Amino acid sequence: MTDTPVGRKGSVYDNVVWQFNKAADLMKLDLDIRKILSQTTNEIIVNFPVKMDDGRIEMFTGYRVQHNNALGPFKGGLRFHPAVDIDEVRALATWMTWKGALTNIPFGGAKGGIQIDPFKYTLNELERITRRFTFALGNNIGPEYDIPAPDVNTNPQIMAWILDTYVSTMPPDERQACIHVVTGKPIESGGSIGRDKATGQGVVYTIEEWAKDKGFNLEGATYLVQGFGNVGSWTALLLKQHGSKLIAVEDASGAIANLEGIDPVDLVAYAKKNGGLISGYPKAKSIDRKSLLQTKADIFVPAALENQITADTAPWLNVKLVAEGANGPTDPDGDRVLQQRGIDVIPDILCNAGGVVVSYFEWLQNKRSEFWDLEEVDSKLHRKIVSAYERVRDTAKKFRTDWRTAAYIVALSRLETVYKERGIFP
Amino acid sequence: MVKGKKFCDYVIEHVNQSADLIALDPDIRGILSKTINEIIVNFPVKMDDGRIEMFTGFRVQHNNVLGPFEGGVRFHPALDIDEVRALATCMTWKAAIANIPMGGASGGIRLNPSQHTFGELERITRRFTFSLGNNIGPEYDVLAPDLSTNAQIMAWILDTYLSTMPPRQRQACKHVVTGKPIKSGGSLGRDKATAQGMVFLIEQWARDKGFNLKGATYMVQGFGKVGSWTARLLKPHGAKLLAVEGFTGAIASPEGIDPEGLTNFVQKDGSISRYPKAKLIDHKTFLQTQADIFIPAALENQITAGTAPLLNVKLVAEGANGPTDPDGDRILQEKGIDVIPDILCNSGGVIVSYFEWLQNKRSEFWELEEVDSKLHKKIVSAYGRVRDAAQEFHTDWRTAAYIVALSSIERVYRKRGIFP
Repeated sequence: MTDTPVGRKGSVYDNVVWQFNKAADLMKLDLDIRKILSQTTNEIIVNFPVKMDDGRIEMFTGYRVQHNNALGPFKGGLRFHPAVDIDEVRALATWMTWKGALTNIPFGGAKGGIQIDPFKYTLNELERITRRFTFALGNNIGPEYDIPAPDVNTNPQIMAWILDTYVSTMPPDERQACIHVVTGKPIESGGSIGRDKATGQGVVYTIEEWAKDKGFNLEGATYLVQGFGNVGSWTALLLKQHGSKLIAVEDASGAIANLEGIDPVDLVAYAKKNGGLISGYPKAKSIDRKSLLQTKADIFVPAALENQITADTAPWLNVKLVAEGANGPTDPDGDRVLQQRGIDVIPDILCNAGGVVVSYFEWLQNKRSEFWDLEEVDSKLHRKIVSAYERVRDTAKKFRTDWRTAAYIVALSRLETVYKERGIFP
Repeated sequence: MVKGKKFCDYVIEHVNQSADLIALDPDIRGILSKTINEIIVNFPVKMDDGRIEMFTGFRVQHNNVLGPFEGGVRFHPALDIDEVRALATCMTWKAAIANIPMGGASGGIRLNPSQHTFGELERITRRFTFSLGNNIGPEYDVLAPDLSTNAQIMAWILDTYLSTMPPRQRQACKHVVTGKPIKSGGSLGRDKATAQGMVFLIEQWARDKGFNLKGATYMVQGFGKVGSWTARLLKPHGAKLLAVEGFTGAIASPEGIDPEGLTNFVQKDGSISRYPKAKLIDHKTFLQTQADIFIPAALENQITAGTAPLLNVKLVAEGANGPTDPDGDRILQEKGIDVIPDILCNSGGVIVSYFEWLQNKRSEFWELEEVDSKLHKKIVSAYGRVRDAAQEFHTDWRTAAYIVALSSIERVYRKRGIFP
């Protein structure tokens, strides 16, 4: 994960509000509904004590922000990161609402996390911290109310602890029916096949559609990846099957390049042995961050943190397409530069929606006590992503606007329709 | 009026001071120095003209190791999380000192109630209650009236909460809110409870000091519910009200102001400043009035480094929350003025809220005598605990009150430990 101060500026939530306002103006969103959607519904902050291995008690702060549930239960990830704050969580929760609306799944938007550096704690401490956080959230989460999922620094193991803690607070006869309180679980604990690669798979499906539209051949196409975690590495592994060539990669430990191509399978194996990091990979040379962004290629996949493509860095890019695997990698200034330069963008809320779509499939499988095979998951994901892609493309044409604004318009129109039909309680 | 440190800052200061003195377990100190839950809700409400307006509501739950969270709901245009946090924290201490099985919470809506119609206020209150959902409940977090909220608003909260429950559970959930209208399950004596508690404490203080309340003189700052009830309840003792300050100005009469007469006048006129049987005085003259007892029953931060030297009284009985800042406190101590601190002095309200909660839970209805005598027993024994702690630790009464609260919570944490 890259978290370079160069790219970071301003508030992420301000970016969301800016994007929202641009789309709302263009589509003339109903003023009342605009007011509702420009605020979060609930913000829950919990402070909780956890006993450390040495017997001391440490206090932790956890967040859960629920942006909107007009379309269905709140849904969104939990991240464990020292920089987690209410502004970031608010932005991420809001993006989740748009993603659910855009991909036509019956979910609202939420996000949460704990302000913590997980690498400073033992596995046992992390388990107790996770369990106490789940307990502190109490009835503010639930399988038909708010469903957490993995995000930065959280994984299926942590989801399993959340599941176990949540169902332990339920009456025994309700426990088995509550397994869908969390998605991204280990397969054996009710997870879905294909959930691990889902975001990367969604990214690749959108790239395929883009290539089809442009008459562009992915075989031999070159690309760069920023961030080599779950999303970046899966995107690279799946693009390999198309014969595309990975020529540069960046992560928290630095950037590497090889114009002959880097084998994603080999790099994943190397990173696994190297603490998850790519630095020192022998079959590529080390380059700096600026050189990575300047590398000439067909496609750039930012799959790390927010605010990476800005007024400063956007002019360096030498690509045809930016496929946003990360949430909010491009700030409004960066967006303007990309448009001026004629670089296509598959915006985050469309590009990385594969994760939430397969989370929805996992939730459905649990709810129906079913277990789908990988072909079923993939083909259903493909259908969802391609139809969302088409809605965005057609809307961009209709409103003569950029794809990000178009994606917002698709999402906001669906929310607007539902609010108009349902009205305001009481 | 608020300058320098805020109420929330010196609540922390008091806790630290008392915790140092009793060498409070550092783990428990860590827990108590944070709130448990902070819930912020943004909700849309349809106005009378059909427009939708968004409102922000808060509920901060400080601690529930002694029992369900309990605390007021206030409507105020400048309401912020810091203020709500401090109020929630104080509720934990109040309940612990009074020895009732409740924890501390507080909340409200950022709102100027005078800018809304009755119908809008009802919808705002109901939508706020609905937004809080399962974060409140009769055995989880119990609400009560506070600034700009009243029995009518509590009735709307009750009705909304019950309407979201399955029908067979509704009647058993009436204690989700206290301070209700009597017919809707409120308790007799709840309206005067805070003042009644203060008068019981002043009586006890007078007994301890061998001081005769008959003919004693006093002044009251704030003539709302707490101020006016205190004055009316002190009247039968033959104590004389010399001066009163309200938000429109201060009045004084050396012959004494009749509390009943003034209460009736305020009900008709809306403020005290045109009361014919007293003369108008300024803020400084008010504070300088020579009297036996001063009852601040208005806002925070009234007794400060600037105003404490002006006081010319034997006792300050804090009807308001946080009327004295730490500088003011030091000066009162130097001048030898006794203080019955807020978290003891105005706890009559939460004690009778507890009685209302108990009556609902048991499907009972107590007579006023029963409520009053139980309140008397609770508050006088709390007084005794604070007095004894002050003697034992050679400290002022505010610190002693915090010591009583912190040590009772510490004992519970030691026994129960930390889940999981």
